[in-house]
Amino acid sequence: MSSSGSISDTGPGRGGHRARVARVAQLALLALLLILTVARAQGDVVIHVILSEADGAYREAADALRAALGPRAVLNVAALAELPPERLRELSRGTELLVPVGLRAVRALAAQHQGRAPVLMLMVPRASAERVSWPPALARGKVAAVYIDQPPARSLALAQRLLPGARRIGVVVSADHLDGVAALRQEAARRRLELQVETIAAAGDLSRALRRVLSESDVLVLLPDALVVNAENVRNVLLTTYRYRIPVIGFSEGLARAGAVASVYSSPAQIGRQGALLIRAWAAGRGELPDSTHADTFSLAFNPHVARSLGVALADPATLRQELGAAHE
Amino acid sequence: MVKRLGAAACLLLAATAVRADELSEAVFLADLPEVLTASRLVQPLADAPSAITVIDRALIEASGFREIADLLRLVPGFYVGYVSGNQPIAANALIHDFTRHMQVLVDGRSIYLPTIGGVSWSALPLSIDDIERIEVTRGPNSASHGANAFTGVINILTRHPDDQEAHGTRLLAGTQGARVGTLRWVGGTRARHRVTLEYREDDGFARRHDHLRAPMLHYRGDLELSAHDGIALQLGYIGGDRGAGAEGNALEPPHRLDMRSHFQQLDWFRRLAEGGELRLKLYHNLTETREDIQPVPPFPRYDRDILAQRWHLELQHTLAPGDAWRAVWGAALRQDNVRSQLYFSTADKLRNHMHSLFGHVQARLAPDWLVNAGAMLEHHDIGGGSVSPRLSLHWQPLAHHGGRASLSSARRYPVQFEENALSLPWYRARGGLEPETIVARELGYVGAWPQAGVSVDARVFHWRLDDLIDRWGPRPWDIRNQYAATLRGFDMQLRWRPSSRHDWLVNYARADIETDNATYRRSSPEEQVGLLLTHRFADGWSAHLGAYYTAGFHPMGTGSRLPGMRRVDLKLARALRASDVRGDLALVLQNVTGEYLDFDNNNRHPRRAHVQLRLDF
Repeated sequence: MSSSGSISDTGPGRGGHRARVARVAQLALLALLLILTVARAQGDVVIHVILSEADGAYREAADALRAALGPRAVLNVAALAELPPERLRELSRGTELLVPVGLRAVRALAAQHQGRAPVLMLMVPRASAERVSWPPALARGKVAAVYIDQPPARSLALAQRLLPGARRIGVVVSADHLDGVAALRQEAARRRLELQVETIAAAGDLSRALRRVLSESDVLVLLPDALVVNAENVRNVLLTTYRYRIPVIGFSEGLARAGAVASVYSSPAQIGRQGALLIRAWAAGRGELPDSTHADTFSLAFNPHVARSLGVALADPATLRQELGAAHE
Repeated sequence: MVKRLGAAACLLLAATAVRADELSEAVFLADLPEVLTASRLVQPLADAPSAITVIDRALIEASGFREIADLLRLVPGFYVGYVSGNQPIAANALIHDFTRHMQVLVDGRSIYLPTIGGVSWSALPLSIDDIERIEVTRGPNSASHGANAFTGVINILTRHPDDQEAHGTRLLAGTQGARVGTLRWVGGTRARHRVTLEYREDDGFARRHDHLRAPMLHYRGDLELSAHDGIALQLGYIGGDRGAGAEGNALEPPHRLDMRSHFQQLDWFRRLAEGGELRLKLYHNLTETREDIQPVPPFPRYDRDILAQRWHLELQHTLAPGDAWRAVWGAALRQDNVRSQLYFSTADKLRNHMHSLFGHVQARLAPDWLVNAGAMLEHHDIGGGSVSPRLSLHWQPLAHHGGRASLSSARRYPVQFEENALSLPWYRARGGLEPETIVARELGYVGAWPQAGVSVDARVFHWRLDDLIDRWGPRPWDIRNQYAATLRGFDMQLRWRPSSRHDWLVNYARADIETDNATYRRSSPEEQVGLLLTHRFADGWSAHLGAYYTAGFHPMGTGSRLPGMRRVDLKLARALRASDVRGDLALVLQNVTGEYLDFDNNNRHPRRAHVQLRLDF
């Protein structure tokens, strides 16, 4: 055997050894597949995750869900665009859990749902989730959601902690979202805060509502409401509040960057992990989903420049999260 | 087949599409652009190189004042007086008919008069209702505002049209013939416009010829040209007449003074990357008074008409690359034209040009240490060139408490009258004046207890004033740089808002002046106290009490020796709320404790009252 041979030139003895190794590996793989199949048949969960969009925040939520559920769950993740309506109908006739992520996926699924498969909505605003109509055959305990928004206590606690002198909390909502204000009002009363609410019917009413609410508020708490906060008017909202020198508490990382003093929000990953908690409870229970919920975990985003200009002292985010009752992550 | 598929797709889309005004997760996930960029943010008071008082809308409303100048009673150390019923003055040192040591700006436009100095408040085309806030720097600030930002700067900021209702109206009627009527219209979508029409009338003091009748028009338009550029245009006009002269004054018997004052101002700004901003300002002011005067014989008729005009162009570049530092630099060109036969014995316009270059830097050296450094280089035809530097060091060891040590200098440039007066047999100025100088050393504290709703601002100051300009020698007087003065003092402001129903403001100021000139020594009150208490009741009623004390002093110019002045104002208001209408009805009683002498022995400031109805819809 020439030592000058090419590296692909292997001796016959060596070739026999490789073949043996390959056979053992094949066997091992077969055995593993067998074990897995048996295990799955015995209790593994199959979940169909339907993303409103193939990547971005939706993918993040799905990845976090997968990581939190561990290897015993089988996640079939697909973007809504990849699933024809027939497939959605077919899935909804089965018994495996369907997890639409985002409102578009929720809507698409609701439109095709045949009334059997349980549904866990992820990352949808509460107000919109509550308005989705599912087939009447889908019993209670078969539909739940992890909302993207925050419970009122969290936003108010943040406002109170950062602005200890603030007593009047300003809120602008569209008539569509007045339901959400009731809970906020209760929470405000519990905290001995006054709630100043202005209601708008159309986008054109926003300036007037802001004028009225800002002249009688110490802080503006922005609530998720497409008529009040959207890409077109967020500039106007923030510039107006700043002219009044009224700090804003927002509900997204984007708002803090744009000019809110601070925001409390749950990230897609935190929502995905919360979804995993609900799925575990569902799998462990009698096939009933727990009640819909906000994510227990949340993040804080600050705008130190705006805070400084308005004389707001920001606390250390970690300490503040604990004070606001952040669950241990 | 294709058609059917298309229809099915449409149906599916209709079923699943998310409406634009419907709430989806997109509003939470949107990556929004930075709106409140560094250049838009104002410096917090704790970081400012000087002591600053802010008079906001709440204080303006609570005070019950109907004259803009009166609002300065809410600033520690500021004296407000009336040379005559239509001639208010506001200043914090060396009080004179013409408050020459104070810069006054409206949205950055200097209304300091180039003829004889001071400000003609009654010729200011601005409604008190259109003021958003007044920021008063209680000390020199030439490095930012240039000449005449000497013992203070009053910066009046007008309201953005977006912050007012589409229609507004105000009616005021009071004693001494006070009448004010205001109409406002706000509109526009991409460009926002405001037009304010106002008429004011007042009989002034009893037994004085000092009435005011002034119609006024003000326009402000704000237009966003793009996401990065915008312009603001302002126009104003005020006309009418006021009473002047006095019984027994042979040269100036009671007569009518017709006034006409207008301005045009254009601001253009461009937001740059990384929080920077470029701002260009161009404005023109013109104030003209005509007096039809018939002196007592044998004195002949003479020409008392005065014209003052200013053109100003300014470019400012702000750099705010991060939290650690921020810088502003810029340049300005100005031309002041004046004409007065009476002051200068010529029918020609006299001109004075100014050009300046300024810059300042704010740097955070460490989390609790901040430094501000800046300088203004300026050159005026009258008074020549100068440099006014400024330095302040801030220590902020706690979140809401900080101290400041500052050293700053400023110049007060001579006005045309001081340089070129030729008004025989009284004045013959030889000219060649230098600017007056001030060197200020201050230690300040800015603190807050947000939980209790308390904010405090206090400071001690030591001001050294040199080359003060005054008349010199026997008549006809020359005007020269001659005196010096040292002011030492302490002032503080405390605002306490223990709840949304209460707003209490307490001001205190004490100043001692040392000088070789006896007139100057008496020209500033040693002590001033101000108090403004607001209580809002649950049902829309509110009650306000203002109390002001000024120790006795002797203003310069035509002022008289004044005993201590006490004044108490009361305001009772009822908010009016209907679905689309917001307004209030108020009764204001001013000076309820009885008359006091105001600036001059002849001015007996009486008890006054007015009612005001305001409706915005």
